[in-house]
Amino acid sequence: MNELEPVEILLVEDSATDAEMTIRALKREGLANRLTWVRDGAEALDFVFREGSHVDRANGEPKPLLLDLKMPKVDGIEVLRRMKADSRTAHIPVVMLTSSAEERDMLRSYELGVNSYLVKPVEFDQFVEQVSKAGCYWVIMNKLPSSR
Amino acid sequence: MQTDVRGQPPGLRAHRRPRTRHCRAVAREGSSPPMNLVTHPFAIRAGVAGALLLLAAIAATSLVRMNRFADAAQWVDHTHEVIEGLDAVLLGITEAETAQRGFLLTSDETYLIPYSASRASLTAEVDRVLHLADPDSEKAARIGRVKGMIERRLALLDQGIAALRESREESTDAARRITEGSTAMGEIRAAVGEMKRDELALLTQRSATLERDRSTARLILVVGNAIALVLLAGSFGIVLREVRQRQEAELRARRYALQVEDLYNAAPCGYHSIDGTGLIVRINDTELSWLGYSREEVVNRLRLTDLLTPESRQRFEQAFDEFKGQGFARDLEYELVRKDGSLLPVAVSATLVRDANGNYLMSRSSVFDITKRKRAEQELHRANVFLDSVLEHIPNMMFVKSAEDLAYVRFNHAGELLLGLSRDAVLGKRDNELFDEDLAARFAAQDREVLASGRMLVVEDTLATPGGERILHTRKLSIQDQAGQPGYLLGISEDITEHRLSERKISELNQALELRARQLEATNKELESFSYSVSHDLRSPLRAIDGFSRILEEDHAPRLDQEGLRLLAVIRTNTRRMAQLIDDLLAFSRLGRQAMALLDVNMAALARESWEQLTGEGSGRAQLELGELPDAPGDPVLLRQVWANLLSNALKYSGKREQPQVGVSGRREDGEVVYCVSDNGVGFDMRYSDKLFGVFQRLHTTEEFPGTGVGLAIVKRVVARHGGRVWAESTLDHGARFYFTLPVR
Repeated sequence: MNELEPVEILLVEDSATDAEMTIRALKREGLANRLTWVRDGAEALDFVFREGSHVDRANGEPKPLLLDLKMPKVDGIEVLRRMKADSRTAHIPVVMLTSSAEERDMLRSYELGVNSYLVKPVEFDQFVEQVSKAGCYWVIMNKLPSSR
Repeated sequence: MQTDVRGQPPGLRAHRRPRTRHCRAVAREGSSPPMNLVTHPFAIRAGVAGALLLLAAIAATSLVRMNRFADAAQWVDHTHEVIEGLDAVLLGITEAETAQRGFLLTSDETYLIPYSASRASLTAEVDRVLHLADPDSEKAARIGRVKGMIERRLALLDQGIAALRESREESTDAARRITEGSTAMGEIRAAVGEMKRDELALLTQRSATLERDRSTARLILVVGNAIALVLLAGSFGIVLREVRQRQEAELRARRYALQVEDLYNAAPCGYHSIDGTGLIVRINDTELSWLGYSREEVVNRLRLTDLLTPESRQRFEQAFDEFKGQGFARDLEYELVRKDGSLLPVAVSATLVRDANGNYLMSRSSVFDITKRKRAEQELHRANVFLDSVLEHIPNMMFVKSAEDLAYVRFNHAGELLLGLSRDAVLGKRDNELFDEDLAARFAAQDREVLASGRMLVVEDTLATPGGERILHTRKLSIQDQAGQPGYLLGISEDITEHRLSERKISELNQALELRARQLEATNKELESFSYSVSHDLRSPLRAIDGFSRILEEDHAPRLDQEGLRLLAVIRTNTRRMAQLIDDLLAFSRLGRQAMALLDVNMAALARESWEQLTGEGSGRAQLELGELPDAPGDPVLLRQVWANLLSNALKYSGKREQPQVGVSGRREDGEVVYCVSDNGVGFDMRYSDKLFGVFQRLHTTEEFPGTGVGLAIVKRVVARHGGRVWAESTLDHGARFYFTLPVR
């Protein structure tokens, strides 16, 4: 969580327990080094657009943005919308990582151009597996255009 | 040619047919040459008469002339005779003289012979001439004088002779005698000559006259005959032509008569005539053929009454008397009895024929076969009766008003009941006499509108009846006559009071229902957000519990003993279970709210797919027996769940068998399809079968068989939403059979 290093994963999650488990899973894959955790949508937007408290963050964009849906202040959908609406940030992969398997949420997300939608399993083992795989995929396997 | 009702062609009068008029009539009618004076019968007569007269005249004249001619000829003859006689006389006297002279000279007695002869004949001759003349006439007198002279001469001659004989005569006497004789002779000659001259003159005159007469006669004869001939020829020609025309006219008349007869006999209606006693004196072929009789059987043998039914007979007798009085009868209906006994309804019209004294002679009757008319009348009557009965039996009030004055002309029984007014009270009256002012005015306005627009008007009115206030739904329309003008106004009223009440009730119920529906919808929405919360909010802590126990296990295992690890395992098992419960519950809840599609679902394919999805994960031992599954209408997504749940159950509960067998079959039955999933597993106790499909209801423990008990509840819910049923059968330890039905229309 070093803001001076370019971020690889931005985790947007309001539940501390969920965040802890996610980070633990990613750590096991060695992907947690350049991970930033913000606790709500507003802060996420600040980070992405370099506003507010994250005005001075290092260059480079997250390789995915792991986004939870239900959050106070600004929820996941709003973050997604703003990111995909802005040409500066539209290319940033957004991965929904949420407990909600509601058709409605999924539809809306895809409408707004989410790159991937993952439903958090309740069982820990499964949870870990999912997060690891997702992390590997988006950080290592997935290719992005070089940052400006 | 037209026949009038009396049945005979005009222009013919019974029994009186003056030929001239007839001929003239025919001549007028036919194509004969136009009438001119020459063919005028009078002209013919005149011509013939003229000719005859002329001939007679000629004959008469000729006769007369002939007579005159004969007379004249006779006179001429007579004159010739007279002249000859006179000549003979002269000759005679001369002969006598000569004879005498001869004697005198010779004194030969032989000369006396001719002398005597001449003398005798002379006398005879003179007498003859005398006879020739009319005794009283001057001629006779002259001839008498001549006779006298001759006698004197003869006497002289005799004297002479005697004298000689006696030789007594003196020469002077002789000389005197001779001189006397010569004078007498001279006188005789003069007289005779004069007479001869007269006679000759007369002869010439008479000859001339004769000749004149003859030529006149000839002329008259020739000319007269010629004219007569011409006249005769002319008359002959005219007569010939007249004859020819007559012949032609006769021919035409005959043909005409035949035509008329044919018209009479072959007319499309029957004709007959009856005399004063009702005896049939004449009848045409048509009527005979209708009746089936021959002419000989009827004419002058049967009375008309013999051919009528008893009922008709009565009416006929009366009518016949009237007919004789007033001279005509019109359209009387009777029933004739045919020879074979069948009846023929007819209409009879007749006129009277009177004789020269004005007495009843016979009737001229025309008879029309009104079988069709009668039948039509009966049909009409039947139809009317039917219509009337229909009108009366229609349960709705029906009325008809005349368009002119809007008075009721028809009012049916249903109307009487509804309004509590009797027919008699309504017919002929108008609305303002039956209802109060306002209502009557409304009705009048409606009626006017209908009649003016020609379109049907639907109205509702409330009126007071003996049964209370009733709402009438009335349809009014105008019935037009053939000219397109409104003739009547037809109204049909229905008492919709009850109907209105029902409507009101229904609308109230509907409102209540809507309220309930809205409430339900609100509740549904609440449930939805609840489920949403559950799905999201309940899962997170559950994840945390499971996760952190795992972390504890992983990171601090060395510090935990066997029991500690077991406890952690229990925690984890239960969280997993809770997660499953939540998922199942959510699924179950969602099912009720999802919109259901209705497609033709290939159940066989769906079942197979579900099976493959389940067995793809390694329940290779189990055998599936998939029978023919009929298609059914439904939601494929939901039905997939049904198959998934039933098949997974079947697999689960037969999983402990050596040879797990699952059977899937379906059959059509009575408007639905019945599907069956059977297994050879442990089965269940039928006593608890009604609990099977309850939510979270299980008949086995989780240790025996895993599961939350929602699967069958889901099946039941989906099938119920499709309008089908579920049930199950089983024998403990001998497998189970689960059935569900889907309706097919």
